[in-house]
Amino acid sequence: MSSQTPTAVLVDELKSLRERVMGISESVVSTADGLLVAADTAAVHPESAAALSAAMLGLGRRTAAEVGVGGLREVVTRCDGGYVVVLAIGDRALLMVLGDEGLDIAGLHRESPATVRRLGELLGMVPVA
Amino acid sequence: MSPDTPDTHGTAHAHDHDQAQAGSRPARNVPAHLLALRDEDFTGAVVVSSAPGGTIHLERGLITAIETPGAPTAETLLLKSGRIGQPDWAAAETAASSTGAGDLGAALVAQGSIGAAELETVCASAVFDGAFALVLSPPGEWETVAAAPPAGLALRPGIEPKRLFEETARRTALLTRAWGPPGELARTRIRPAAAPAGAAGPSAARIPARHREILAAATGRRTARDISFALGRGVFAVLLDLVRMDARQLLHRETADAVPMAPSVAPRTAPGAPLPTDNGQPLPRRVPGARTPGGAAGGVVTGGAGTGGATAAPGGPPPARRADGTGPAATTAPTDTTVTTEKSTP
Repeated sequence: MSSQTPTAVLVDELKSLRERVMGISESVVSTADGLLVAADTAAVHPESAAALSAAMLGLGRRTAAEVGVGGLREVVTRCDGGYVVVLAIGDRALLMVLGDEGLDIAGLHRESPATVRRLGELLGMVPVA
Repeated sequence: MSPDTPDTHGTAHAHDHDQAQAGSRPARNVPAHLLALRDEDFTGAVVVSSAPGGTIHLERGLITAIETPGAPTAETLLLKSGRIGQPDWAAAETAASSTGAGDLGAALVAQGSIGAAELETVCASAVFDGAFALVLSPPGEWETVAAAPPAGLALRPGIEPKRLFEETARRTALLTRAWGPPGELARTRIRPAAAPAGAAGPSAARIPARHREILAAATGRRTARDISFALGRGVFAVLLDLVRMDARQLLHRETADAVPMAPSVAPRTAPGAPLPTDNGQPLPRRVPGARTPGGAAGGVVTGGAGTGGATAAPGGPPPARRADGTGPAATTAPTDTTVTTEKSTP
């Protein structure tokens, strides 16, 4: 077992999420301003995904506020070949999850709150209620 | 299938639709329930809420489609395999919604994207594959939804429940005979075996194209289910191919990724760092008679604490230094984590 650097602990958390939810292929944790923190990726470019996920979440938040549909829960992008889901970790970090078209969305909704909370703790942030 | 196990997640996503059989639940399990619905000529859906679960669509008691994260639908089979192109698909969807009937399959046949017989074959294979995928995971709760929207691509008429169970049992038995418990193989992450890919040309040439495509899709992160979604093939077909390829020793099975959730108790030294005593000085030595009055049998002269910090308290909290989130360590994240996982010893 390699020594547990902070990044490795985060990556283990991402791998654990991938094990628990069918259909997840890759995931990235980044700061709210789009800097890469940790990645469990194979094909995507982690830095680019991190930057784009921050933009996606910012656009989602802004749009939600503009049209008055309440607070943002997550940004879900459905594509021909899969899903891109961006979740906020507190207000300073975020989690991007990539899945194929068979992604277990219900399973993601079930498992992601615990993952987001643990990632927030690992990042040294006060867990948001 | 056994009777439903307690499922703590079953109520998390309760549907608002009316329950078909409120109150009494006579069926012991999903197959028995489907047989009862067949007798009633039920039209609607049965939502199974195990992990991953799925939705079984019924028309007049016959199974027309199964949607589950565990197996590709007919749509995925047709699109991912390249049988139907995305523009044709979008055109058919537009046609189906504008004619009012909403029959996507009929629209695909009408515009000449696929023949009716071939579409029926693909839809039927998707139903069988979905049923097979459902029995790979432990059964959970289910609910009957009468007002469920029909599946995007449905088999009409559907399959008799009894025939579906027989085929599912046959598939499970076949894989069990050929390899072992199918659920175990389905959870295994696959990558090509190292040896033949690099050196041998002639042996690689004898691998059929179907298997070569699976080898190309097997990244070590993917299970059979993930490969079947990537290639647009049935999970059962991929599992059968994997069994055959495993017999030819083309595959390497990654061990189940046991993610350590407990803090590591290993000493917190970097792998290449020098040992704590490796500071050019001789090892500490006991000096006879030089014991301190208050201390126990100590008298150890330490050789300096230059490379200290090596034996921090085991199980201590991981350093949470990334609070600002913009540390330089952010750029050192691994881009491919599969390399760092333990090498398996099958």
